[in-house]
Amino acid sequence: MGCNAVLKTTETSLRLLDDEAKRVARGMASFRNERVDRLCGPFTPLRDPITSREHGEPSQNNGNIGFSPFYYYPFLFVSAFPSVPVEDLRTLALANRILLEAILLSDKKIDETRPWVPADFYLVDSYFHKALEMLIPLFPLEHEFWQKTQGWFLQHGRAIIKEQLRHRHRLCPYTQEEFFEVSTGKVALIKTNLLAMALLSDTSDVLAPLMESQDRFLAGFQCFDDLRDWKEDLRHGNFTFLLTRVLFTGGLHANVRRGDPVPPGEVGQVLYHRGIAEEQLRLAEQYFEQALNSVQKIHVPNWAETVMGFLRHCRTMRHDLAEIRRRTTKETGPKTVATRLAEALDFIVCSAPSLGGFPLAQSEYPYMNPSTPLASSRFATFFLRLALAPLQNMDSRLPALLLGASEWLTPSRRIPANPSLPVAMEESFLPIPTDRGALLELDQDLDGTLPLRPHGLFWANLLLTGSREDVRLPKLKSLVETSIRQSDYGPWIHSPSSDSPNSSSHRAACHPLLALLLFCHSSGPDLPRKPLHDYLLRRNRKTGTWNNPTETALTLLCLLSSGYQGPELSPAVEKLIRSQEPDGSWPPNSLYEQANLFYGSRELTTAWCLLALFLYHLGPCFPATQERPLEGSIQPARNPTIVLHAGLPRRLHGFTRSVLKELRTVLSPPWPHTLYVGHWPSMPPHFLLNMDQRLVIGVNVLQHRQGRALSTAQRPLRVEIVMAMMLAHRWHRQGPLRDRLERIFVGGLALSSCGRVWPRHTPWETLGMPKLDWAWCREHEAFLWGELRRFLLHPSPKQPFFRWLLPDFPEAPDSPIPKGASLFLGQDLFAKHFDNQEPCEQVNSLLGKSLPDILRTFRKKVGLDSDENFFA
Amino acid sequence: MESSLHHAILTEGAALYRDIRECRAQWREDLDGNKSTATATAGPQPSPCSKRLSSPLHAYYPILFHTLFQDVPIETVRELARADRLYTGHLLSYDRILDQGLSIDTTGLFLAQLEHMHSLKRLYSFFPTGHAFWDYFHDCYSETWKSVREERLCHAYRLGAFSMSRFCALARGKTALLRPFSMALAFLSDRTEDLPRLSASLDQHHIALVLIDDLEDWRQDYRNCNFTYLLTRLIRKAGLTVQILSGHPVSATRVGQLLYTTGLMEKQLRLAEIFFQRSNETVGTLPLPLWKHFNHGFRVRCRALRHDLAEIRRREEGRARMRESIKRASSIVSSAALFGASTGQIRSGAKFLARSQTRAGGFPLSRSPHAYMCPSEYVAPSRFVTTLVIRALQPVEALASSVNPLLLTASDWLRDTQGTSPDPGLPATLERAFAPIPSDRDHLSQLDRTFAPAYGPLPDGLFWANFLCTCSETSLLPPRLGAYVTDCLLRRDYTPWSFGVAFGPVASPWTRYACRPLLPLLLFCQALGRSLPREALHGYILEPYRTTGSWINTTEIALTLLCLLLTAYDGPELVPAITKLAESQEPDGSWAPNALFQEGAGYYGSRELTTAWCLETLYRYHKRRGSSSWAAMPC
Repeated sequence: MGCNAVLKTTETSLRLLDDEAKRVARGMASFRNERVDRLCGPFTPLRDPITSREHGEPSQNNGNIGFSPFYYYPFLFVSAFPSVPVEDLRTLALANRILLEAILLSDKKIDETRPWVPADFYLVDSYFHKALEMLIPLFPLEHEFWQKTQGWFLQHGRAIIKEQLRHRHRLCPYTQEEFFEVSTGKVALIKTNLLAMALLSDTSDVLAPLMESQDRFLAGFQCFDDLRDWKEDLRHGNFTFLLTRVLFTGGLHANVRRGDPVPPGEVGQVLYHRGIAEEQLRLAEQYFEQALNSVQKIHVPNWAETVMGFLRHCRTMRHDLAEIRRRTTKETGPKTVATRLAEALDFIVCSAPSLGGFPLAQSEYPYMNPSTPLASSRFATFFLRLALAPLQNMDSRLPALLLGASEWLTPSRRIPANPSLPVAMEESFLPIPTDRGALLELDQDLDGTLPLRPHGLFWANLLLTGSREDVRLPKLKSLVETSIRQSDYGPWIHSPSSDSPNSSSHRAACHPLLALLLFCHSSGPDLPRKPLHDYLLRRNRKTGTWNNPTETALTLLCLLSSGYQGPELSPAVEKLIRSQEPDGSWPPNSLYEQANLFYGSRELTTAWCLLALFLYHLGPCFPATQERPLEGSIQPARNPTIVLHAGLPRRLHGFTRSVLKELRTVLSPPWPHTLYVGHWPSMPPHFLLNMDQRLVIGVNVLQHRQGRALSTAQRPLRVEIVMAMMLAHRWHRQGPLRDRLERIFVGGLALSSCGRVWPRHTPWETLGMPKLDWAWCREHEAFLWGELRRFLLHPSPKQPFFRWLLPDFPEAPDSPIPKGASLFLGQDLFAKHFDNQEPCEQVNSLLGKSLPDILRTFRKKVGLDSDENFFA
Repeated sequence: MESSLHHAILTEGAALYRDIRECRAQWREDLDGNKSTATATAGPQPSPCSKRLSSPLHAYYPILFHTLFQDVPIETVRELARADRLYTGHLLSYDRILDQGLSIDTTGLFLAQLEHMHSLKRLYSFFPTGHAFWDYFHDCYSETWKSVREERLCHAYRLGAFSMSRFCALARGKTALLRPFSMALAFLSDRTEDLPRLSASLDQHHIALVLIDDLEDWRQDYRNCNFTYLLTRLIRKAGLTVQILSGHPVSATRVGQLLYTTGLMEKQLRLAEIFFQRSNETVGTLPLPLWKHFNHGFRVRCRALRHDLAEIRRREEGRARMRESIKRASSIVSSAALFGASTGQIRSGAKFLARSQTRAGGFPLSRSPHAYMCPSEYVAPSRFVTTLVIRALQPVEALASSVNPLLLTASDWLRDTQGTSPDPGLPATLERAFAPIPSDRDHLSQLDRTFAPAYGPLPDGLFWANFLCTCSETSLLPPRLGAYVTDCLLRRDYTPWSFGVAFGPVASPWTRYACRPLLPLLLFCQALGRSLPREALHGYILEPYRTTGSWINTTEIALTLLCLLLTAYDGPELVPAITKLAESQEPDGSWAPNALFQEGAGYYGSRELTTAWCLETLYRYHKRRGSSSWAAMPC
């Protein structure tokens, strides 16, 4: 190995980390795929939730690299062991990653209440074997390295066992010392990296402080991780250091000891409202600080930078949490909307600067507290003027204010932007020539993609200008529509990388809602509304909640300007009203981020909130021209007529009526007009018909036996009725079902709703499966999801698994998959997500999901998309 | 020669396994961070006298193939055997976790991972990365997990078709990972041309082992809904598929009955025999005498077990007929008359004994290749049998007139043969144990002083047990021996009393040791009765019943009941045992015997002795129950 192969500690090495991480990720993926292919046949990658999360999402913790540091771990210490050849470092990095995968997979299986399956053992052993195979050439078997490695493996095992024994399904006092011991012990094997480097370079003097630093870092990492995963930990009964503290502080420990479920909502309240989350972050910060202190005298800049990245992230989060707590705990008295609007106007007018230009504020935190006002900003003033223009008749002071703002923005006052302001934003709102020729020329210059310079907001502003001047800009419009259809707003929000001299440590991004607001102002209802609304409402549909006022106001403005009138508006407006501060303003969130600094404006947020409230309560309504799935149909009924086939017992009539009554707890009317209960030999267990624009449901009942009312799918009749009703509801909202996964989704929702209404039904009864078939599905749940993943990857009807995805497919003699397995998966999709929320609201929201959303849900569940929790 | 070599190999396996266990105990201690736990799990330290040969499978397989690859140093072969055992241990732990479902033994998981790593490291010391051996290993690795996965997908909770060829493919695949450790020898000596044949032979051997394993673990498999080839065949054949799939479980007892009565178990064993034979045929003329002997040993044991099963079936059918007749009788006669029926059973049993007594007066010992003693052949009149028959019949004498002359003649025979050498066909251990001892107290006391508990009563545990009986007849309690017996009972350590020197050629998973501790226990009870530590004794002898809920064979039932009755036990377990005993009488008045002693490949037992014990049991039981007609009789 020549000198060139030795990595030098320079800025370049920092940049190279990303390449090394990619190399490890590729090596890891290639090894895993090769192993899985050998087990299951080609092209059937098993889902690997651990790596998918880390691959998919660039880490926010480290501002430099898009990968978790555990992908390039040895390279972080390279400057302390400069003589280690780079090839050896690469071997160590990959072996470390593979070992970590084995440990994470084992931990996951131990933590989750799911049985092990052969594929788990196969992978874990493969990982261990591969790591061994890679390390043995570096260290012969009798080398001291192996003895120490075994010691760390035992430490790892001891920590896991201790945690299991003391804190799984048991609530015992958890000291910080114990937490440190467990959290460092659990990942003790990672120490092999430092030891290996020290042995390979024959440098042992820096080993102890580096190990110490590493331990502190890992404890901090665990603090942060516990905060991120607290819901999951609670669900699995893993009472971490954090959860133990929360449960004792909130007096919820008695619930746990009684065996009563602890509502996550209550735990969340204690965690966030009593400042425990912030204390946890503070603890993480302390550990990270200690990690940095331990290596003060050692030259390990990459390591220090990584730890610093985590430290910064924790600090930011802690400040934001404090601000969120302040916002959510403040009192707001009862006021009319008019009063609120007046107070908000007062705030804006009073804050208006004399020169007409509104300032932008800068903060280290996205929640903008504390923040520092900067100079007057074109960006802020432009948007303020845009927001206040429709309100100018509300207050006599407004026209003058708007005039002042316009004058400040005029071309004659074209002065250089203050250097403290973000250049890209300010440049985007420089005056644009309004003559037709100049506008068209700019449009003509576009070559089908948005150029890196100027910023995307410039183009959004150009579109608005074109629309005001009545100049059609076809290329730009087409780009906008493509972005909306594909829900890809990347080009509109990212700043060019050459913005800053050291681009690797500077990222700039603005919220896509800014660009969207400009699109809506320029094109309004002409935009492709379905994908636009789906994008705008995706978060609310997932979580059922609205985010901060800035985002809520922007979303509301986009929705209202594009003619949306759905049920989601009302809670958003409520949230806005609740968020107003005593001085009439709304607290801002950042709109733009650059070089770890955040930019926003209280005045601008207040103006947007004001406009949103005005448009919702008082403003003109845009015509509602939403496509209705059953357009032209007669409106559905509140109480369907029940028709019973001749020959069936009369009591089924009353039975069906009582089922519909009970169903109201999870599904609200309107419902279809007629519900037939009968026997049709050639029809499926339940079906829908559109007869003379009236929706009719049929439920196919089995010839009556032993007093039990069953459908032809062997499901309890009441379950079949619920499935049919949900299907009808879905049809009303989204039209006929177009995809088998959509059917599984709706079926699963219906079945899990049945579980809430009639908890006494066993799961196999509800599914209409023999008990052992159900047990098989439970045992092979991971396999079934794997098959579904294959289907999503290769959705060809020729695939053998294509058939079983039909909810009531006939069982194939050569297939191990039992009938009803697809509905089992559907039910599993909703198994854990009916915690605290109002059932009707949640079911209605889920039934209204678009097909792409549903497909995304499945893709996420099987790990094809990012691991973001759909229901979080 | 082969046998002694084989024994040496087993000893090696046992030593190796002991090392691994110690290592595992150390790891466990490290993992638990608690010394006491480790000691507890490692089990009590064996006493010097209780060290016996015990080697699990896959602790010596590479050694069996060493004869073909003699250029490989024996130390290397031992290391491979060690790696084999470690790897097998790790796989077995995984198997347990897969069967356990949700409740995972986390410590077991880490121990398994440690075993895995250590096993691999040993292999890497012989085969560097990139060696052709690793390709072979990885193929086996994938094959194993593929088959395990496929089996769980297709046959856990599923009762689909399960053909023989599919079973073979799955069994071969599942055990593929056990091959590389033995086949490593071929790679080490660079003679891989025999690899296919050797692999195939190992495969046949493993298929047979899986067949036996399925037979042994059918209850657990059934409970876990792992429908093995055996269970699938049984359930489908018995038409229970729909019932089981719908979640209405058929009791394990019912499944067990079906297994025994339909002859499926015997078919399974027959299949195993065939595969062991094929395993040997596959290697043909290759110089693998140990391997062939090993397979042959398994085959012989399978055959023995098959014969036993056939005998069990015959007995069960007879018992069913007897039960019917007792049921009919009880429906038409009063309960008092039932005592009469029992008396009738005792009398007919006594008549059988009178008929079976040799002209000279002794009772013979029988020999059989099978533990259920069918078929068996008389060896010769035995002091062991005759002494115990006399002791058993003495209390019954008052009830059956035919017993008195029988006892007299038997006693005469014992006296007449005093000082003569036993028939050479009889096991010397047994006969020597029941040789007459001068019954004067001084001599007995002196003998007791020669007893050295530090070394245990080996080799003649039964001699000392019988010595205890003789002492009790003279109202003497030998202090040293008495204390040792009490100590053994309290420790539940009966090894010194029940194990001799020679045992079966192969320690297979289903080896049973014929000289169960019940025989010395009976002698203790006859000698010391209620003065024994009864709680420990009762706990031990009732443990099998309390675990399984069923009584086994008549010989064991009779011995157990006698021990209980002689120590004044009166629990609910007695009634079902007595019922089973009463139902098991054969039409000629006798009770079918089971082996009492095993030496080499031979099992020894006696229909006459079993019958005598059954008679004594029935008599003592009904006597204690207070039958008015029996109350006055001596006991």
